[in-house]
Amino acid sequence: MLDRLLARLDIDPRQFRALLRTSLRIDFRTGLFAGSRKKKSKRRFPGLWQILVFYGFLGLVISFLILESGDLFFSGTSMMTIVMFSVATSILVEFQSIVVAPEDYHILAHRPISSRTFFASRMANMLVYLGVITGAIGLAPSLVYVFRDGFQPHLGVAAMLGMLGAGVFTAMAIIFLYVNLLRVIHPKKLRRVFSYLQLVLSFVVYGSGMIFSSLFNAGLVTDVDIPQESWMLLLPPTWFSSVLSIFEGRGFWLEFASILLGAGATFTLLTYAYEKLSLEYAAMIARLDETTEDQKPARPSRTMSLPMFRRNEGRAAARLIRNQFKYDQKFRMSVLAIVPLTVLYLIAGLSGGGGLADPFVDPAEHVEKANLLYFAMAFFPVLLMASLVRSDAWQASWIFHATPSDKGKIVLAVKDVLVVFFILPYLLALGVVFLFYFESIRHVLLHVFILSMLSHLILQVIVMVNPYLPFSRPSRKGERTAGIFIGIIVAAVVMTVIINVLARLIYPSAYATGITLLVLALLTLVFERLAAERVRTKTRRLQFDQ
Amino acid sequence: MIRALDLTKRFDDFTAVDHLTLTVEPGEILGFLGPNGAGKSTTVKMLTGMLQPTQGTAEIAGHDIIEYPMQVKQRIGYIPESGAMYESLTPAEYLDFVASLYHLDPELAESRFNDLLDVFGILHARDQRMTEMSKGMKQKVLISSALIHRPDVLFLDEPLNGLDANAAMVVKELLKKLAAQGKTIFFCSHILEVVERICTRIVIIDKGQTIISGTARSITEDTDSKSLEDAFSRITGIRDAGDLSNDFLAALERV
Repeated sequence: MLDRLLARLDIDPRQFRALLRTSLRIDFRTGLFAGSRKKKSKRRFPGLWQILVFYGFLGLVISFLILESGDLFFSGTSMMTIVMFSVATSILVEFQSIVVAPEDYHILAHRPISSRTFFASRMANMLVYLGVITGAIGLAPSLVYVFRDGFQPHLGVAAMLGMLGAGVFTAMAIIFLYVNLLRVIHPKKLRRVFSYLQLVLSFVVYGSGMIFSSLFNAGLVTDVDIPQESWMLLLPPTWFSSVLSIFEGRGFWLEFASILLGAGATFTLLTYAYEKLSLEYAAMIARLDETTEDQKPARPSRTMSLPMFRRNEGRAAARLIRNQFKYDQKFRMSVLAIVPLTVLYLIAGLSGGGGLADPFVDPAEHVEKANLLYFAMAFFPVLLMASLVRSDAWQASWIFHATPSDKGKIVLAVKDVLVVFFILPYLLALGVVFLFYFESIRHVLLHVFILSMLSHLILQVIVMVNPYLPFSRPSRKGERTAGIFIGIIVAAVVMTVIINVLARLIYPSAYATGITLLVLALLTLVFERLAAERVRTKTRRLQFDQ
Repeated sequence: MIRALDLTKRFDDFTAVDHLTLTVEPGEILGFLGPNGAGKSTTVKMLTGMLQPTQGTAEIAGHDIIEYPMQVKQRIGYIPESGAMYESLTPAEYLDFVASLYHLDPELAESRFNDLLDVFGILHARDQRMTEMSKGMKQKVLISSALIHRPDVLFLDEPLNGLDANAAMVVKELLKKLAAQGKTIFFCSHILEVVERICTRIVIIDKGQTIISGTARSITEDTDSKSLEDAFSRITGIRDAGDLSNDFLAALERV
């Protein structure tokens, strides 16, 4: 029956199925939990599991909001906002190929596939993908809607319908945005624009997390009651949350107008997408991709000034990492993700008023205010190492294996480069912030010095556990999102303990502080030796075999 | 057969292919040569329906590429130089996918691709993901994917890339036999020895235009050269290779 329907729409059923099956395999087969060559995953579609786990967790968070909130329209609109945001970031950051991939042109353009069949397969692919995301996010909230006030299955259905609609609208809006930006911006430049957009979006992700936790803590979620007014038609999430109001039996003209507006906007964008999701469009992108964009010639970079980066492995590592940071947009953006996190955590600390407080003078106040800031600080080395190991340019890492360089020395040099060029400037910037709030510059210097030693220790531990060569492992879809998520949790736990011990138990005593400095210095030396030994042993086994 | 008439492709103010006219008869293997950036790939992309010509037209297997692109695509097989494939698939999945696009019966397709993979000695890897395969193994899958639907016209852009000597020999013999069966073969390569050995005719282009065409022997004689390689370097105007290599060595010896 489906074949007949497709044929009537002038879509080739066999080609449609083959294209859809293949694109789903490609999307869901790669992912964080995908098996390596040595350690094969038992799961056929690791990417799918990764999406289900990650977005399922997000759905659980939304469920709490729905349980706490008394207002259906407020909880529904919040849920739609989160769904739209998740779909947008997911497509922009990890799954741009859902919109259109230049590779399609190289592989498919010489095959006898009509534009309509290609479009239909792309649309179906997107719908499946959106179905998986919204299904994963929406399962728990829909169940909460069903059972929250008695048994109301229609509300569960409405939540799912609304979320799917919100997802489709967002995807279509992204296509619209993408296509129109491509008219004025070169694809390579556009990718850079999206990377910066990713940075801005991370502000929103971390920011909304903070706002939600503040709302929960203040008990505000229970009290929010938003009246539906006509200005709300300007907010797309309300178009889809209105489905809940209608299913609840509150079907006034405004709710119907909202739904009509949402459906109309989605249909208009869908019609627009029909002209764009074609192989001809993929050809245009591929062609643009192959042409070089106008760029000013790069200035030759200065030689490394520190003695340890002037020669041999140290020089090679410093040259590679600094240049990758300069030219590899993905790496640069991964590293810069620390900026929004730090800024938002700083704002969160300062939002209560009274500044950050000096930990040597008022440890309790400092811990309370700056706790989040230390999460970011502890997370930075984790983020750096995670961003540094995986790369799209991983195949170039044969050079480490084919030259007589000492792989152990490279790994250790990488750690030093990260400390000198990334961790220290970051901590110095934090030091500048501390200057405004600490009572003495001596306190700032001592505190930043101790934090630097701690960061270095974290890097040493990471290097000991995973001594990988820089940019030597292939990137995987979804890994960054999941990696950041896990990293933040670990950093939060570790740093809560450390900063409490430091500020409450050690800083009040000069003697204890001195001992701590000595212990940290000793630990650094011991770990350096241990790391060198372990790295040497482990790197001997490293092969270029991914 | 392939018939291109006045084929031209312009990208803004850059002319990649400039009024190119050529014919390749069934049973012929045409060696299509040129230095980097000469317009070879753009020509192939136009002939395979991947790019629209700015001017001129072409006929493949009796169908106009602009009027009847689908009919053209049904009759051609193409091996791109980039070797682009969906590498997260296994060879079996990829070949099944390609066969479906040409509407081959699944059982027939499976037996055919099993045979092709067997000939290339990689049947044991048919269910292994291509991300884990060597370049040569992937190239064998790519060649199989271009032949699976038994096309009348073949466009091959550096088809021997990454192949071992035995597999390369198989492909060369295969091309000769396909030509003998009446297939039309358009062969782009920088390996001039191979072109000289298997191509029945050669066209050399530069800056989008044909500079010379004929058999390997006629081109060598017409340009008063010792070999096809020598003729190629003369007519595409590079500096003397001996001088260049001396400059290279001098750079290495600088202390």
